[in-house]
Amino acid sequence: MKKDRTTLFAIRKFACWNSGKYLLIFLLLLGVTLYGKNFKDEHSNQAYMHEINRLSSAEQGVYFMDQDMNELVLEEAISVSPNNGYRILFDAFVGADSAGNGMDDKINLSVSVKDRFGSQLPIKSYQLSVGEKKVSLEGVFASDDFYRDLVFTNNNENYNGVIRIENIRTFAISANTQAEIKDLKESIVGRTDFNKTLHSNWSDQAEHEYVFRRKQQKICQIFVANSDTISAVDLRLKFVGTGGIGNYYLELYGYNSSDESIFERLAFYSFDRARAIEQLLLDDVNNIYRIPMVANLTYGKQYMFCINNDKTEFNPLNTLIVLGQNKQFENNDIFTLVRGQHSNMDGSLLFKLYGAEFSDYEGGKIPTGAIIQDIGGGKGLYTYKQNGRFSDFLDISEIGGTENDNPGIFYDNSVNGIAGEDNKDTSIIYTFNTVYPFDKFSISADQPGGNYTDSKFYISFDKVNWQEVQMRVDIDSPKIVSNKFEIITSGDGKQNVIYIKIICDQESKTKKISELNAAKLFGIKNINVEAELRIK
Amino acid sequence: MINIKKISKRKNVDYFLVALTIVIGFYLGWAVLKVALLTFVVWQILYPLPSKTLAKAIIFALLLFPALVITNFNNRSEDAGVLVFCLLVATLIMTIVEFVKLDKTSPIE
Repeated sequence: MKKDRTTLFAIRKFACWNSGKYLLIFLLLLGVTLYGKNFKDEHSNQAYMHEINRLSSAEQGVYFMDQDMNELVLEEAISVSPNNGYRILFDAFVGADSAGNGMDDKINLSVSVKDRFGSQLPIKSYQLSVGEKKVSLEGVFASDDFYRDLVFTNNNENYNGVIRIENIRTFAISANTQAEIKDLKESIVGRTDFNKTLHSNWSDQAEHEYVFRRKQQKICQIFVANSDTISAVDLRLKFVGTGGIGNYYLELYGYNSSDESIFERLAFYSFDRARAIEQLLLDDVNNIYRIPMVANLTYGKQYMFCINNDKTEFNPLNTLIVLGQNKQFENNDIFTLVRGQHSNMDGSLLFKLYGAEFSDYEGGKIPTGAIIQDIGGGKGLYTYKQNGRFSDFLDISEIGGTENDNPGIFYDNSVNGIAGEDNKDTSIIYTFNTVYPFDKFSISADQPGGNYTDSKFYISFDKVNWQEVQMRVDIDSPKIVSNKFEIITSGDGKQNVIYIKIICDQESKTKKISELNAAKLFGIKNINVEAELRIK
Repeated sequence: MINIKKISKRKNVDYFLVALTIVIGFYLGWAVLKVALLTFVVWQILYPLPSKTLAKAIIFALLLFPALVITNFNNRSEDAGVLVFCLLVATLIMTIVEFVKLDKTSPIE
């Protein structure tokens, strides 16, 4: 009884002690718990971010046929009318057979078009090797009816793998009879192979965890270039909690180990946890992410790629871990930089570096996704369309400037375009080899940063005489200038190369920015080239 | 059996609240500085520092701010700016609290 009274007294005493203070702290912590989450993590916003990431994902328009599907029907994928000819182009990859069929096995994939009542017109059948790299396929047909659906059929019942179909494009052509179609030349397609491995320091077993614990920290891995182009890196990353708020940056620098000097940044790619999971995740079991890192390298020179948390707010419960192993990578160091302070670490990061192998035609490089096709009647069509991917950077044929080693031109994934700083007289040159001479062509392109970028756009047929292309002006209000460069013009029927050059506009209206000692910015994105060709 | 008397010792409850604040801050993914500021607010409610001490801290932080800018620690100088602002708010609140307390304790004329 006495004990109970003592307890009661203790509780009463406790309740009386500064109860107002405790109530205030309780309300404060309640408010913080309910509303203190950064709005990036709010559910409504998450759905919005998910949609943005999905739309900007490179995986758009990718279709899978798994072992249970013999037929893939893409409804309303095309619009075909009678007495016309069409060409369909797509990429296909036949995955390895899970039932253990050998690599020599081939499968038969056929493509047809279907109308709304179910009648089909076969286009073509293809024999595809199982487990080999992605192939570009083409089918040409003359239509006898209105068709709207595209049908892919796997004719092998025993195949137990997944067929991936992507990048489907259809074109109307002039040839519209079987005889004319038979005479058409095969299309030339710019199929760049981004899966060529340059370096591999890989293991399924991660032995080491490199954790971001400090502010403005970089974790860097040195390597020696064994190719002149780099396109991406595979890393094993583990996000702890939210991974922190803000973006991590994967960066590429030139490096000299003899005096530990770091040269200017050659490439960067920003990502946070949401973007990494939506767009970069290859394997969620082993936490493998493929991050674009595009740059031109010099064979045999030392480089380093780093992940930094300069723009990230993090804490020990919400940070990033990069997985590694105890073994060193080809005598190349791994180190961490905290606000410029260099400290070596043991082991190496687990990574794979990828290059890029371009298609070429008679020695000329065909840009990624460019198509040169025979449309019949002695005419052809050249098409090239950028879609904001990292390959847009690799399609650049030349980066000019006084300091070519550090040109200050990047692929910037925040604007999905090519961005440059005008601090070294730099210029970006694209070369479009149409193979056949062109009669007419049109080129359009956007500025990546809208009014904050000051680009000048030129075209040339000989790389000597440059003609400036103006931005499109609103007809009703001529003072309103869009950020779109556009030109439609004619060739002389002999030339088959078009050059475009982008430089910084020194006299632009936003020159005030440079007066504030900030570098002027310029760049280009969404280049779209179409040319009518003369094919004899 | 739980010893309420022992648990309800004021210091233990206060320390628990401070620890809870830190855990909540980290759980929400806040940066270390923000967690520290929240903990400071809770501590200030539990064990209020007089406004004079807070004002001295403001002067120190204000001196720190240009020094960090000059030495190119721009991120840190932003943090110092946030710190100055928080201390200013805390000083203002404490001045009002002290004024009200003084008003209550002063003899009625």
